Amino acid sequence: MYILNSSLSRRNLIKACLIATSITAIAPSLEIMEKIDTKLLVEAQATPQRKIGEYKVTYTLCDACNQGPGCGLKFYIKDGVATYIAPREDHPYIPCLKGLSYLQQLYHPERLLYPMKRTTPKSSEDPGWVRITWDEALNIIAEKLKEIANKYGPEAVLFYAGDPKENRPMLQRLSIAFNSPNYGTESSTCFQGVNMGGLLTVGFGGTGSPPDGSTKTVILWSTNPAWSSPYGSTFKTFLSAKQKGVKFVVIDPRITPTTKLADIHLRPLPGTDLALALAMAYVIINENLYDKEFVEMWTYGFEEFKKYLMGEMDGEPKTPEWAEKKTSVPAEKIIEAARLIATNKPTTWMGSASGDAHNHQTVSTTRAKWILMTLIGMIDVPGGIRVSTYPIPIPSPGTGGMWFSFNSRMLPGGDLYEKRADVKMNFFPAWRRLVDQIQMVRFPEYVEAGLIKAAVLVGANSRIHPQPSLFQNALKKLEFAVAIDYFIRPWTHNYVDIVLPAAMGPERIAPPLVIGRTVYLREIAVPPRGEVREDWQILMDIGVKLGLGEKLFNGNLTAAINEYMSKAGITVEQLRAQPGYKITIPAPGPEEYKKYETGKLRPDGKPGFNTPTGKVEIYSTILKELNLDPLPIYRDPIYRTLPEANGFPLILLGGPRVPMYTHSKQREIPWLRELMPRPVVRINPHDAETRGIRDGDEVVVVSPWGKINAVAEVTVIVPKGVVDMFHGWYGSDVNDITPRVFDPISGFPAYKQVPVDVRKDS
Amino acid sequence: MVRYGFVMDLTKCQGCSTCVVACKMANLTGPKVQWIKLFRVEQQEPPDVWWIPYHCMHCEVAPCVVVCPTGASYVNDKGVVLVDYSKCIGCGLCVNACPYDARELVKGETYFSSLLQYEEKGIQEGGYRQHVPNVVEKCTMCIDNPETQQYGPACVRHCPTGARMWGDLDDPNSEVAKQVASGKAKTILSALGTKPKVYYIGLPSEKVLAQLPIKARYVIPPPKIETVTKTQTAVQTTTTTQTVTQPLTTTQTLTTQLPGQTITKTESKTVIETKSDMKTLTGAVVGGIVIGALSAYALRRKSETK
Repeated sequence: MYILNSSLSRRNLIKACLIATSITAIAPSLEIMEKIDTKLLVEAQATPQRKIGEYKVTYTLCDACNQGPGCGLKFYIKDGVATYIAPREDHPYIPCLKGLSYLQQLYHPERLLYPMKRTTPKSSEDPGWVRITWDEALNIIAEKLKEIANKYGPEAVLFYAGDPKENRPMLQRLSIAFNSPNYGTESSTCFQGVNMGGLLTVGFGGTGSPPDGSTKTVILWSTNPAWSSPYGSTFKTFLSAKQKGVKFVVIDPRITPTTKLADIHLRPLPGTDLALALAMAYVIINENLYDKEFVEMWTYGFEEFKKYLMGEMDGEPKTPEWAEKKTSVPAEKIIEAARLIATNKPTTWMGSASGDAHNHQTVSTTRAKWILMTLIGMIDVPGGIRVSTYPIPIPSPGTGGMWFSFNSRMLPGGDLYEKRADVKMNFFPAWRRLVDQIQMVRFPEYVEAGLIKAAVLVGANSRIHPQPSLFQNALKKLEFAVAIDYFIRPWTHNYVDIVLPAAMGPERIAPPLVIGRTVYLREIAVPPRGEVREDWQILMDIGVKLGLGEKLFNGNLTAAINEYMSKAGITVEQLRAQPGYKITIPAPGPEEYKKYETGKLRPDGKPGFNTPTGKVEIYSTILKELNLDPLPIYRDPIYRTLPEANGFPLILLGGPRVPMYTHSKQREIPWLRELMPRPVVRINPHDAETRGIRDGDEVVVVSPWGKINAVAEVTVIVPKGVVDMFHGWYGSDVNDITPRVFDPISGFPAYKQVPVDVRKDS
Repeated sequence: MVRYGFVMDLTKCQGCSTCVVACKMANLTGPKVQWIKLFRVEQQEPPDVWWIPYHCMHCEVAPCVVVCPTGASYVNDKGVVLVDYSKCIGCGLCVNACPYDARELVKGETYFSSLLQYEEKGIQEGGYRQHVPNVVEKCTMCIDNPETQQYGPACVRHCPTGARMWGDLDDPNSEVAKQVASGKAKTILSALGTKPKVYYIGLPSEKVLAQLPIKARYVIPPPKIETVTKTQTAVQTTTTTQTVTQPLTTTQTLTTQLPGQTITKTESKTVIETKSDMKTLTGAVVGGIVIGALSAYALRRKSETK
């Protein structure tokens, strides 16, 4: 029964008038609306108020996305339970939707809270998980790993890190302490390939530099930070640069919030970026727009490169017209972009660890971009690509632990190098020379060859590589495997023996993160649920049980973190004495540029770049020595060269970033799942129309290697002839229809150029 | 007088949906209930795409308030259009009346079979974190949260790029008032005359905006007022509404039949009764109003384009 207290109120009078008007005249309601005195609508009714009451406020850093920006999270804790999240006031980054959904993830009913042991053989469908104690779990793990080390040598144990990345320094330390160089990560398909491009060319890595105060032109190449890192930093930097009149050249086949910043938007066909870069270099050299002094003084192989560009090596000059045929970007737009970046300087470039990292020519393509920046003299100059003069000597967890993990032991010259699986099987010589991780893309081969018999997996997903069933089968063949994770994820955990519950970001401390020049230490912001433990602690606990306590701080987390920060000269105690657990370390001097002149880019202190010739290697001496392309030689993408591609007219960009998910994670979180409930394939209206596909239709995406189901999203985001689909959908996995074709230098799979067709699901 | 409103700079929006989730986190809304939605609209030639965060426009002339038979929907003294759940009978009239399709009749479902810990504790705060089944929900500008004064509503506080602004439109020094004064900020479907308090910078053309998946209707249903002497029990019949998702450019006849409304007055109490015997008349009237509204809108737009 609904009873109103008021009698015919002012409100009802208005209504009565309105109604009278409408009934008698059936007048257009617009006119009615205009006659209403808006003030009469306002009521002095009390607005409901939240009773906030007593709260504890805690601070932490987010680990929900893959880049590890460590955004600041402020938790409101009531009776030991987090009920609200806000951005930290003492932190430069505003967290994105993934960070906010921690509330739902932390308290998720299906979260893994206790150590679990399988009770059925790996061949059965149901692992029959039963809860065990930590003691029991650690004892089984230690016993099994020792047994395998005794039987096959410690290198038969793989230590593997997926995502999030913050366990890596400790996992790598455990691996090397155990005398196994077989430490690998998901960066085998992510950052490392792009990083190699820089290491080989200029002697330092990375994906370029954001604009600074003096930048006049920004090249954003195959990157969309609006969705890959939606937290409040990168895109915001672009917006303020744009406001100041900085010009943007954005290279991406799709239309994204990032490409909307573009003054020049180039939309090459997937996998043809190298042709575009070469044509831009051609224009810059041909029109004498390059920095002659820098090129003459500081580069190696310019003349060879010029010969290649001018067609003296293969009879094909790499003109804009040539590139138009390869990329479908109009020649005049290529010329316009080349002139802009070479004349409106300083120019900087930013790339990504996705985009054309997932290319059949990952390293050559990245090298071509570094060469472009070299030609226009933008290496280590203000407004261009910068190298920090005084980096804070705390390892970045995403790239592993470096000295903290004794990584030199698994690099060339190290005592464990020869025992690396990729070395034993002679895979990807350039990779193993430069990267302190094994190239995981050949994991099925390592297992097949009997090199790997057991695995310790942290946040691992068996399905990140093309043809994932090979990886699942390989995992199944192992004699023992343990996984550390947040949830039981059957596509991986069905093939392991033990799963251990990890504390989520807000429930743990390690590792400290460096943001700008500030070192942040987490506190335990949210009381950990169940028996979860933080991953650094779990890995040390395993180490202690293996008898490696001495090298693993005897399980003491504070001692481990202190060692991790030792070169920066700060301790956990000092951090905890500061509000927000953070210390800013001022740079000892002003930022310096052109450090190749002063010897600050090389460990030996000699002038030049940290490459074998001491110059920017346009012609790579390392690649030459390893019998790989020493120049960035363009080769057509696989949809043009593989005979199987015939009859598959569309090109699939597999795994472009979306804002709501990080890879295969977060599908369990309803707040995020509502934003993309099902696997979506984006298709251009032209391509949809010719196939009779409408927005929202059930479709199948078919390639020569398989087919998957999806929901069609008809949109101009993708150009004609190109479709895209996010990865990590169990049951509709783009990797199932992606072939095992690898960049010969890095071993990276060509995820973003798969020949497919999309058909209506009937 | 304080008159709160939003300005959203679409040239800064990165289409990330952080506002959508911030709203859910702050207000603990139920499954698939999004007070903020992120819409995408496109242009084929030359190809272009816009992402538009979208929610209650907090109209000054709010049709939802006008039609509400119980006084549950109201505009508060700061210009925020709100729903008093204790008075809402879930009749759905306001859902129909809202030309922006920004209201939702919620069922009161929960995400999991039982409330999660953060929900249990959060709900205890009351305000709009507490949810009632069968009432109409919508954006509240987080006006129930004492922190809103300092930081703005959750969507503004969490917007990673600063694309969202919130403040007092009557305070000439506020960011929102400045943006509105600059003339850059426009409202969606301003021709409807509801005077929305949500402004946008960088909106696409009207033709593109017509793709917004919102209803093409603008209806004031005609309740009948009569005085009776005895108290009656409220009879609530289900309102079946058909969602019309066609763009506004298409004139169409609404086939929806709204139940007749009878507001009865007694000596001390007013009782709401919903009857179905008014169907035919109502249908005709409503249809007429819709056609009238649409033609008026079309005329208005025509004259605007001139």
